[in-house]
Amino acid sequence: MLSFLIRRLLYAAVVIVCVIFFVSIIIKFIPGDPVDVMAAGNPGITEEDKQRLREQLGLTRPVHEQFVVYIWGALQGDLGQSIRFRVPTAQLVLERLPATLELTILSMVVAVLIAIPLGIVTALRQGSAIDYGGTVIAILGVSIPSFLLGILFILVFAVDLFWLPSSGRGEFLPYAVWHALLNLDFDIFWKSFKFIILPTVALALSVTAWNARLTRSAMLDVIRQDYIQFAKAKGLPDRVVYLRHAFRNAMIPSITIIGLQLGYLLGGTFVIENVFAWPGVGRLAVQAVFWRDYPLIQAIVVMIGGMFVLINIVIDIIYREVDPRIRYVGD
Amino acid sequence: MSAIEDAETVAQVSQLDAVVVEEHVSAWRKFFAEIAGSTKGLSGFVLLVLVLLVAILSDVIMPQDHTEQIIANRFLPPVFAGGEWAHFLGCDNLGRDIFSRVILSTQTSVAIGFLVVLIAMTIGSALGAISGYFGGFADTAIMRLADFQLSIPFILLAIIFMAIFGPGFWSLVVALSVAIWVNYARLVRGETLRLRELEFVQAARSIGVRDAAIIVKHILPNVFPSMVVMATLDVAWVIIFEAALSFLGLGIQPPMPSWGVMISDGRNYLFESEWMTLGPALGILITSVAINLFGDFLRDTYDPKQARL
Amino acid sequence: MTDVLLEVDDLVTHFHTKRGVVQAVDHVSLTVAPGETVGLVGESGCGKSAMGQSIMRLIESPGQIVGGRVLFEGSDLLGKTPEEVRQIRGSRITMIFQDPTTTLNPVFPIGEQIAEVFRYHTDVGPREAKERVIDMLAQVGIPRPAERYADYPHEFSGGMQQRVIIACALILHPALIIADEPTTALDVTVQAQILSLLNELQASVSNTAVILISHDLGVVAQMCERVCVMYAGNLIEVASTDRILDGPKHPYTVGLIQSIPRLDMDRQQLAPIPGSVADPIHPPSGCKFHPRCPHAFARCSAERPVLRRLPDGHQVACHLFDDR
Repeated sequence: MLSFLIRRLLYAAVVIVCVIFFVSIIIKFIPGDPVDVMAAGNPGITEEDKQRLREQLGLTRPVHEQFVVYIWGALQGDLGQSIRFRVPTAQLVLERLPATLELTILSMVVAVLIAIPLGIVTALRQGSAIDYGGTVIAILGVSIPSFLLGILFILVFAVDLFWLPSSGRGEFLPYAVWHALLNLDFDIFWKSFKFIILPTVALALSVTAWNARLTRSAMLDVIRQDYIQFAKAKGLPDRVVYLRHAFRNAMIPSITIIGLQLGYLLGGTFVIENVFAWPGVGRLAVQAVFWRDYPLIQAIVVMIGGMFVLINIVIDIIYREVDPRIRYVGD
Repeated sequence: MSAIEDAETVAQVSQLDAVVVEEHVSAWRKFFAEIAGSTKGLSGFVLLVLVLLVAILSDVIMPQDHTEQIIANRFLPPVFAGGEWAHFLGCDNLGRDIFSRVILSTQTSVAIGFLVVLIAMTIGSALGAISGYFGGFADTAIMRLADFQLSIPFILLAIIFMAIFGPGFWSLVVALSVAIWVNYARLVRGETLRLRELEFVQAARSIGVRDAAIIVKHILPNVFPSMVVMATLDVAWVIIFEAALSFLGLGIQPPMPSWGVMISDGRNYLFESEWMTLGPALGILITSVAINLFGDFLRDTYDPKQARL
Repeated sequence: MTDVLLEVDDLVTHFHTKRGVVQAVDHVSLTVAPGETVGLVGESGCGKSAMGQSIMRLIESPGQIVGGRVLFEGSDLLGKTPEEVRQIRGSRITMIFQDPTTTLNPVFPIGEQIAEVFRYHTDVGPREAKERVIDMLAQVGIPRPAERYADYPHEFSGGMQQRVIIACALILHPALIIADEPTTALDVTVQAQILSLLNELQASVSNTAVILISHDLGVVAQMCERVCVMYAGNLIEVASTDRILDGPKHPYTVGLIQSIPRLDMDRQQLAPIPGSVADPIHPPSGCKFHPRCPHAFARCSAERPVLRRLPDGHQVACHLFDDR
């Protein structure tokens, strides 16, 4: 296990370094003089600022030197300074990270909690009305982009019904829960929770549909296997046969793609943040692109990308624990 | 073997004894028969044909000029909510006919969908073939590139891309092609590797035929079903992703109409005109459902091993 | 009463397929005495597996047990509730499957998979269950059983996996084991080991009766006292192993034995049975074997023969032996 972990961490480090390399040299590919482009988007930049910027971005240096400088800075936590805000980019990203994380993670959790029972039930009741309903939900889930769903929700729940807000954000959800519990006051929780409901559901639908189908087809595959016959022949109760023996195998394909789904979900979150004016990294990123705030964009890609790579290592470890067959195959 | 599989095999073998000479049924007829036999396939196919017709004929069937701005018509409601037949779904904040814009956007989105998938398929297949045939450094390099690209979420790549090259039609096409080439490369690489080892290749090589020619000739028919399924579902993905990027302002730029752009405009005027948003929403929905239904049907029928939905 | 452990009476099992109804088990009756080893022989598709599964009530849609009785230890399994049958399955009647590499669940350790039966059939606690499992593993010949208790199936060879499965089948001291082609997926050398293991444990552990299902007469000859021959869902001959091998009566059985190549044969003596197996959905009229039978006469295509007991105890379903 330890050697596996070390190997994966090394691999992750390599990937992150590649990302940083990619990100630091890509500045060179900007057509024209990037600083002029940036200046156009940010009024109030003096000639001195522009020269300083050129140095900061490494436009005056050769590629490899720039790369080294950037990495050195990154290791110390310095990912450059935002042109627009004139503060360290890392700080800007970290400020907004909790908002993005809470949305992404909550959506994933909701999706899994709904998808797994749905998948299991539609597999065991194949061909029934529930299965048909599940198929319809699946097709819709995959066909409706989450941002569209978000807007439709706003239309219905905020504009037409006035039930829920159409934008904004409350407290960081875990804090909200904690405070509500401390004071035994549901309202405290609701004040924050009401903001996160619509974006979460909008995000969760397509992942739910995807997971439900995957669980369903995996279950259908698994219940035809010999070891399920064996479990029945041992006289085990049905729920043990299906929920323990069958599902434990059926969940493996789902775990395999969680990484992929998180990546997909992150993309969705970035867009949804813009629909609901949710103050997260996604909103910041889109604004940064418009402002041509390259240091900020670089920082976002490096930090989020790096975080993602590390999360994938955790997923890999879980996967190895869940499927004993691959433990000795190595990677 | 289970009891029922035993019995069915026996039944099949017995029937082979009573051999009936089958007439040759053309592949097209079989294909359409399959479609007709499946609810999913049929409904998907019908919707798809509808969408494609609209996309191809949009210039002809547009009731109005989509760029014409009539101030008096700002926020005109649809015909069923008190508007006029001339502007079926009403008008947007600049007085432009929503219905016509939705129709033209169909063309834009479908065109991008096909274009991106075509590019990704071509480049992906080429790289996959090179990777599989030559092996060694080329293979490692290409596969490492693929792995690297997949290690970080696509949205980040898209953002960096747009930031560097500026948003626009071609940036969009390139960014989206880059997102999906990997699956085609892997498919073709796998098939190339498999073919390379087959005896008939080695046999043919021994009589002097260049194996590259053989492999290429045989790759296509073998990967065709999988590739068609992949491509179909990818078109749906591209259309949705293009809408998302355009919505953010990072994709299609106005005045070129696209569902994403329309929704982005509509977002700001949800109080004044719902149909500014609902029109393009319906467009995306119908197209997406059509492609997914049909793609799902294709996969069930021709390539059940791909588990995506 | 006490010398009949299992009495199958006129069992009928059908499978509903796209092409029609497969009559997998077509009015089959047989008995098994306590501690007896009975072989159930026939080609693929003759219904022997379906028979085994029907006895344990493991038949599921699109299959269905349509009629008959399965009297086990006096009471009809087909009349019991699913819960009652579940109790019996895995404890009083157990099953050994054909392919050991796919029978064990790949994600759970083997020890757990055996210990499970204690949890759902007895009051035995986990620690004692584990001890008994380790004990049993030793008895079936798994080396270092205490260490290997927590190992996963893929860490064992096919033969070892089958031993694990046998351990699982025996651990609750069942009265009957149904072994469905237990050695077919194994190497020949391992086959012999497994069969002799089964033989030995069957007697020493709990005087368990065994129904050994196989298409391989050689395997059956090694272990069984009595043999039942099935063809296309029907039981067509039942006799002691010696009698079947030395003096088969039904033309099909004769053909079966003659078609086994032996080392002392001349090349020309290899004689397969002509024709192909009867279609289970649309079987021939009368005796299902008559289109392939060298001795068929008029009555054979008109009337289905019934299994009759001859004076010497030999049972056969053939008009040649029916003098009415």
